[in-house]
Amino acid sequence: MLQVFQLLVNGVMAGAILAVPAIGFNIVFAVLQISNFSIAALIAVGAYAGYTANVLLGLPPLLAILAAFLISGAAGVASDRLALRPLRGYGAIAVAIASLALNMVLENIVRFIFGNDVRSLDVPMMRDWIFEGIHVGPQAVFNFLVAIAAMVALFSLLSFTTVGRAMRAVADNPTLANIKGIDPEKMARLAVFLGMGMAGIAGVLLALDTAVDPTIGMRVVLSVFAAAVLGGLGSIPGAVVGGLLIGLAEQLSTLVVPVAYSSAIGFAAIILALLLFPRGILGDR
Amino acid sequence: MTLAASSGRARAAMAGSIRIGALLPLTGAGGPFGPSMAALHKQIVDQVNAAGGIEGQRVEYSFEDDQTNPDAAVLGVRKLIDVNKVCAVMGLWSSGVAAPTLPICAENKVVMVAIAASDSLALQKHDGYFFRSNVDVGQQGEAIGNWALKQGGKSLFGLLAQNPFSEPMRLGLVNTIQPKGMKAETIVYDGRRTDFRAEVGQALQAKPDILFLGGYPQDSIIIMKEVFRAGYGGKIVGTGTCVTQQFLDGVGKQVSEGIYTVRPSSAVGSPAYKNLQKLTGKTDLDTNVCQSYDQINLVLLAIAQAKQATGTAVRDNMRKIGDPNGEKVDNVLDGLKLIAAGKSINYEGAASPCKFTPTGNLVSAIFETLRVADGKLTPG
Amino acid sequence: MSLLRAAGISAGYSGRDDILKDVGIEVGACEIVAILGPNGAGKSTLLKTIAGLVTPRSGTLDFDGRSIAGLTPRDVSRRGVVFVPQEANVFPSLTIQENLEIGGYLDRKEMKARVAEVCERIPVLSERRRAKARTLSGGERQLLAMGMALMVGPRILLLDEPTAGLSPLAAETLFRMIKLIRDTGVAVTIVEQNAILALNNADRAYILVDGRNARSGPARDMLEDREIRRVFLGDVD
Ligand SMILES: Nc1ncnc2c1ncn2[C@@H]1O[C@H](COP(=O)(O)OP(=O)(O)O)[C@@H](O)[C@H]1O
Ligand SMILES: [Mg+2]
Repeated sequence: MLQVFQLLVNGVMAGAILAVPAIGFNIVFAVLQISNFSIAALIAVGAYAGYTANVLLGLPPLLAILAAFLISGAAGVASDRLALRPLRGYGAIAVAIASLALNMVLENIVRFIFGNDVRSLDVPMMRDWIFEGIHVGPQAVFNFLVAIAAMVALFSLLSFTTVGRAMRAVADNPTLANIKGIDPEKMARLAVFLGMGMAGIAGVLLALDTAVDPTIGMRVVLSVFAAAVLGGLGSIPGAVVGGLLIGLAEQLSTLVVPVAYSSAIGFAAIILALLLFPRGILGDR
Repeated sequence: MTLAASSGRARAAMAGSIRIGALLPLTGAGGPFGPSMAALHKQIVDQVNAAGGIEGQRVEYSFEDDQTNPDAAVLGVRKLIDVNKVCAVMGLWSSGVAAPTLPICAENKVVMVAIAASDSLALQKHDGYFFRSNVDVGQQGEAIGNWALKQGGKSLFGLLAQNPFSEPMRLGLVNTIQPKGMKAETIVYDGRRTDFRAEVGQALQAKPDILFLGGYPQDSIIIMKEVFRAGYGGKIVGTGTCVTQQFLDGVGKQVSEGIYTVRPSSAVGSPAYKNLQKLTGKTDLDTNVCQSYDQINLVLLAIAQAKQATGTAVRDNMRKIGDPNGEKVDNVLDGLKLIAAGKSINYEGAASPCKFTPTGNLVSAIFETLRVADGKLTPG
Repeated sequence: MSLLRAAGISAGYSGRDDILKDVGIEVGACEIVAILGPNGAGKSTLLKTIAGLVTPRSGTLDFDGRSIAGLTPRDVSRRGVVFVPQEANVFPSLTIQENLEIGGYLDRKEMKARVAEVCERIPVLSERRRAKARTLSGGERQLLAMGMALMVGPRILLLDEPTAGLSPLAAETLFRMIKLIRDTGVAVTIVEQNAILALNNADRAYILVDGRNARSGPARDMLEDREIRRVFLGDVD
């Protein structure tokens, strides 16, 4: 029983981190109707931006997270402009495939600059807190809170500001939004910036918890897609629910499935989601 | 009649020149190691030729770049066998390159002396044409098991990344410690993820006296941080693949303090090792260079012992030059002189004693135990 | 001098033949002009061309004496030419309040007061301000679309079949509202299926057939023209 509780706690913590890039994926999908798979590389870009800020420049973790948000967001916008936007006329599939290629290019740029070595951020290693036999790591709690804060901030931006409303309007109907005076292209850029910025934040959170290497994004990206698809492509609350469900499923599955197969949970979730809720749990498209 | 014919062929083989070859990586993952191995092979061949060759015949050495790539390796080995007519192929740094080329060698009765560590190579059908100058993974498992037994705990828990080496490693380890009454549990995990909390949770729940890390540095860094956070107080030992400088830098001094590694070592301090140090002018010798030295010495001495440069002859004489009652030899020139004088020899190498099991593995290997202190590996 | 003047307009969708062929219309200040014609005649395409969603291939398109041809839809709106499409004319996942605010996106001063003003004019909206637009009935949706258009203080409204899906009574009410809007100084161009209703409420009308001007004139005259009623308006009496 204690073990189940421990897995629940771990699952919620891991799920909150997964939800951050899943939201990023979904906000881009909602506004541009495009699956931008280069999100994996932008997680890595964020992790290295955080590494640069934290280790090379000596900034504290929160500033490293901010730097990662800005740099991944900017890298997302620039790479979208150069590699993906010219292809939009050829349809969503063409763009999605191009984004896979873009992912490889970005990941290799990261490799070229930083090399293949595994690096760690400069944060003190702290022992877990133990409550009634349940282990909770201080770093994990910090990461959990940052993830929640990032999600609340994004959610508030979308819900309570003019620009957030405008972005949701473009997601609903870009033509009508254009008639109403909103530049859909500008909102698309902003969505990519925010979405990939979220990926960057996730990159630093993962780096803080684990370590940085160029494949850091590829290691989690399947779970991120699973969360996005399960929650409903294009849905922000869906991404949160999807992230938590995938986080929990990956942890709890270890009770019944050998751990070597726990990566398959992501696949299984995608397949199940497509069979049972083709539009995702909270999807409306 | 048959005898006459075969000895006629033998004389013919010696009458032509002695052709040996190597398949080495100049590019790809093995790229950093191939060139120095080829250079050493050539250096030794030149020495032998300068001293009059073997039985008066010159040695011809050819090598092909395998690009650390199975396709290139297959093309390369075909060229060595069909065009260069070699009787032995050395090098074979990666298991990915050795696996598809071993059947080609065996079929053509050509000896392979490989570095590749995958256990499955020795278990493949190769009619005895396979020899490995490297420690196989099962032996590494055994060595870690022996270390664990010496520590005297009651139980060990192993975390192994899923790859072709994890199962033989696990078997070597478990079969060493379990019969001696030490409990062994293992889990094999998928190393391509970032979250290993569940794995670490399972491991620590078993409250092992010794925790064994059998992954790559990337995943082991994450696991080790998790182990530290959870407040594990027992001993930790990792493979040489896992506990690298990269691993130590990744986890930091605080976390790495006191971790052990039990890893294959060259025969540091042996006459062959010293000889090789002189030959290369380097004090610190990489295992690949040590093994290359042993590989070419073994092949040349086996040819001399057989007085015949065919794959089958090399295969059948590979163990004869390691005669425990023979005169100890640490370099090819001395060995050739003794063989020519009709003496029995015992070659002991720079990487290992170079004695082989029937499947081509090393009978015994040399291991070193190191302990991390202040972020560095120190003799432990 | 007319407020909106389209002359010799040819237009169509990318990669296809012209839908509109040499079409012209004029709308005066404070005028209600009906655009009539059979399905597929090009009425919606004409409004979309004026609104900047379809680029004219030839012809002139002037608003208030300045060309609006080739402007983006948002720049056309910025000039005060506000188009309410026939379909997909609200944002379903936004609340009614949010839809109205987006309606006023081009002029965000005194947003609260203006939302209140529109809600006063269209009471159904104020009752359900927090509801998502996707929960509205067809009629309510049309009213919301109108309300959004009113949020920016338009100089001319381009309405594409705003009574579609409304009951006859609701359609009458909507036209009364349109007349009230006109009385505040707004010109209205309206595409309407119910020709009799439209002609009863409009000042002038154009009939389009197959992408061309067929007839035009004062609404009253057209209502009384038996031939027009028979040939174009499908009237059999
Ligand atoms: N987006 C579009 N792309 C291509 N053709 C279209 C599009 N919209 C309308 N059409 C075509 O243009 C013609 C006129 O349509 P429309 O302007 O909607 O007519 P109306 O509003 O008078 O019924 C029709 O033949 C229709 O099929
Ligand atoms: Mg129409």
